[in-house]
Amino acid sequence: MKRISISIVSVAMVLIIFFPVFVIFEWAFSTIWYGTSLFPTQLGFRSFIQVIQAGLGKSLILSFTIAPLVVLFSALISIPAAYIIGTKDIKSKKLIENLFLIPLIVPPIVSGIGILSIYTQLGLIGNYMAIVLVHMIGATPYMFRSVEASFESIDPSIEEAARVLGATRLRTILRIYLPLVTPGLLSGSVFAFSWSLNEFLLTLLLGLPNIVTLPVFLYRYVGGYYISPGPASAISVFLIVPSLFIVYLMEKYIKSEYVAGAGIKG
Amino acid sequence: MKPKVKFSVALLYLSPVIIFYSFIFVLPLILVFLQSFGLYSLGSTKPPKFTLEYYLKFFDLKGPYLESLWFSFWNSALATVIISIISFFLAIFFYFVNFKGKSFISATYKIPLFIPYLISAFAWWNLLSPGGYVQRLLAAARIVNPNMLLVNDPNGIGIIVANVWMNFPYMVLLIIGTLKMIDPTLIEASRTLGSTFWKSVFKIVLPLSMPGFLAGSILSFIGMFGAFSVAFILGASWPQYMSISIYNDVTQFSQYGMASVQSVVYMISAILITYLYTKIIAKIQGERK
Amino acid sequence: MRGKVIIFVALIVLLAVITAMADTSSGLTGPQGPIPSWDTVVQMAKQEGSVSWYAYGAEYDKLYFESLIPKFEKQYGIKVNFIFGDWYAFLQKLLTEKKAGQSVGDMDLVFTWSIPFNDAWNAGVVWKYPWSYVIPNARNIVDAYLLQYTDMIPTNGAFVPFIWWQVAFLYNKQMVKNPPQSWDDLMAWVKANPGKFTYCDPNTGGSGHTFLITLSQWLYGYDRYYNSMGLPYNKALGSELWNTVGPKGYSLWGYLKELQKYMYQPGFYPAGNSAAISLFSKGQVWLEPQWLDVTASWIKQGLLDPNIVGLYIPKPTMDAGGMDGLFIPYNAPHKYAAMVLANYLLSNEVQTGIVLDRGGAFPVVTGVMNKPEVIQAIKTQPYWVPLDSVTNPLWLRSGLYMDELMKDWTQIIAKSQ
Repeated sequence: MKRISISIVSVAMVLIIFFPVFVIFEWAFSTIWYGTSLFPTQLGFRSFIQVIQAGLGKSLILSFTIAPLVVLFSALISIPAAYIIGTKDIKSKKLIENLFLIPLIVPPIVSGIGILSIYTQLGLIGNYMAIVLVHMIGATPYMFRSVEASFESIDPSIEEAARVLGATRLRTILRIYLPLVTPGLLSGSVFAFSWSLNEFLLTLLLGLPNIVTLPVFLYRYVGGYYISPGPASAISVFLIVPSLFIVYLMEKYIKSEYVAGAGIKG
Repeated sequence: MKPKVKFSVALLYLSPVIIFYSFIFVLPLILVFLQSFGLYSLGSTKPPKFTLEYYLKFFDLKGPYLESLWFSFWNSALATVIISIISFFLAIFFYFVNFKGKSFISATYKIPLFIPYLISAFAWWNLLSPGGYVQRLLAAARIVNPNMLLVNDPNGIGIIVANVWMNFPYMVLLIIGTLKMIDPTLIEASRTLGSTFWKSVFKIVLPLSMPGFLAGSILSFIGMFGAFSVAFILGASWPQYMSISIYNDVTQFSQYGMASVQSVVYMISAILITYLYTKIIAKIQGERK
Repeated sequence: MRGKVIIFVALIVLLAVITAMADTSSGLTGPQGPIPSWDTVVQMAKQEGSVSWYAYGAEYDKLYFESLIPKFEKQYGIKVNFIFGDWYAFLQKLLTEKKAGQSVGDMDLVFTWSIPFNDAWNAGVVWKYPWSYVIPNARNIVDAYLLQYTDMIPTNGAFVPFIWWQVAFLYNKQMVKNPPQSWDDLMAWVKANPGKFTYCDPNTGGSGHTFLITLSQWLYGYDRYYNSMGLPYNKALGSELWNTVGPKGYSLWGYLKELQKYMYQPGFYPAGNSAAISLFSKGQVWLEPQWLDVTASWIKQGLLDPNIVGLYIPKPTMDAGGMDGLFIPYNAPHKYAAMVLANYLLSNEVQTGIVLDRGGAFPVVTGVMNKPEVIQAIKTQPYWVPLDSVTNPLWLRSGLYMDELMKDWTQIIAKSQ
């Protein structure tokens, strides 16, 4: 009985997860696939060549340079806040923690149309750093929560000891706390990175025409004027392969519960 | 004991975050709010003038907007319920059952977390649209009527399927997280007292893992309620998710006033739902104790 | 304490630097007074030295547009800065520049379609200069009327058409031997072949809204819309009209509701042109209105079996257009260069390329359709309709009524389920 249920769950899981992934690969390599046939009738690399010629490289560079900046800046503004909330006893602590959730609760389109007004007024539409800031809206709460949890778990007497020995507060933070919160910082970085990599709507609304990140590039083939399954799938392959690699790394090095935060991204 | 710190000092440390969110988040929301009353306008050069016109339009019972809001709500709520049920059983499975190849399976189910929404939505569009593999399979197995639409359909079936696929791993992780905090001797004790596995799961594990479970479901719900990509690819002409309706008003029709009202109501609904939900849950939990 | 202050100040400075990044550029403005000679324009354009061209469209359009740029640069020595994006983003950029009182912007030539042009015109961000009468190649336009109107919206010569898109009826040649030759036969055909006809959601695909506007013109008589041309647009006229029974025995909404009962999955409308052609490709539907260029791109991508593709224009006609085209923003820094680029885009060479290289769209100038290689291509490629069926009569879409139709359609037809 137990055996059977294990097999059923395992097989179902693999099927359900890999079916969509399989279809994406199938489309990416098909060059002729009429709607009436069950499988592609001709395979090739045309879609890959097409997306590379259409500027996939530029989008890859954009996405993978914006994301680290988002991580860096959101860490910079989160660390002081996480430090004070996590290691000290302050008033309204719960309230502040809850306020950090609001950027995740408010639908992105809502803040998006407000930012649209401001950015157009300031001439920041399509500006690289302006997009970094926009990505930080959703990335910072995750960063804050992870780092704060790390600070929370540190024995408060450590700081006192350091201060008694004559270290300034900045020094204490840098020398004592930073090494201790590294795990939280790491998992926060994973969330922030993944948030930025996935952010679509605000980049579409505020980044065009210059900032074509991977999701926006993909959008041209699935939601724009035409649906082109071939190129769209080819781009997806470029995104899925590194993702599978990240899953592998996370399984190996980071506690999987930390990964949970990556779930909100649309 | 953590040392006490004055609120003003704490504020100093919080200031980078506060300044950041004031400019990029609070200020835009204020503008949206003003725009919804006609007190500010991106599109027109006319002088601003206070008006309730857009609100009246929104709350017109025959109008499209309330229906959009309701559709976004029930569709995401249904998906949340499905996700919760599936995830609970999977979490129990992964937590209690050990078998060969478990690490592979438990890595597998996390894959959707790392696939962008747009891609997942597109993949499901492919599978569920007429002639797609899943649609053919279900029709051949007579699970669905061959003529039944599974994407871009008025009931949002496609949206629900894709949302479930994308969000359940997140819930499973959260629930496993709370399961780990349950004292394992409790379960053992109940088992030795003669209760069956499932009985002890429902009597002991379920109530104890409730807090994490409920927190996870509201996070999933809110994510789906406000999401854009999935509804954009898999949604029907009607009814529309509120996010799609706002997007169309901004990009297609340049109706900024209407878009702002929808945004304000959308935002308030999201915050209110979260707030009420946590209040009610806290109350129920409190009573139980 | 000092530590705190340092962190604080550093972060503030950082944020301030990031937020305060607005850029402005300077340049020349174009002619203001009497129409200059073309030689003068070209000379001034060369002095300006560069031009920014903002365009939207599908992947195939982007590829074709990009292929034109080196040729133009070589011919005139004017550098082209090509920006490919979405028209609403361009419009928003112009609106805010206007609001901020920015007299010199950075967009020189904008490729868009009728409705956004109309919005831009009303917002005062279009350069109100009749430059369509300045550029020599515009004299070859297929119909002089197109220099004054686009989708029946007055342009006052400030908009020049560039590409002629065309919707036709796409039918499955293998399954259907007698597609409805005229609009009069459509309802009967759909009833005789239940579940085999569809048209896409007009808000997400142009084949849907072109279908709707042509249908309404057929129902009420083209004159009703034609006469309204040049008059101020009257929203009430449309709303009233579409609820009244026309000479064909139906009101527009009545016709669409009746049609819906026999369509593919009553109440379901494919989300966009591609979703519609995808259904066609899978053999789910046998007849639908569809763009020639979408059909062309699906055949080229190996997604649609050319052997099932049949295309024709139902009688009396399917509206021509959109005739998407170009306008110059009020604050364009290089207006002369923009005119020279626009003139190049209307050249016989580029317009021939629209047929032969881009495929699936018609030229907007005369002297292309009668070239032997063009005639040959249209005859042999599966994604064209016979030439004589689009040249006469040249019915046009009525942009503003169409826009209204799109909005009302969601409420009256899509919601009626």
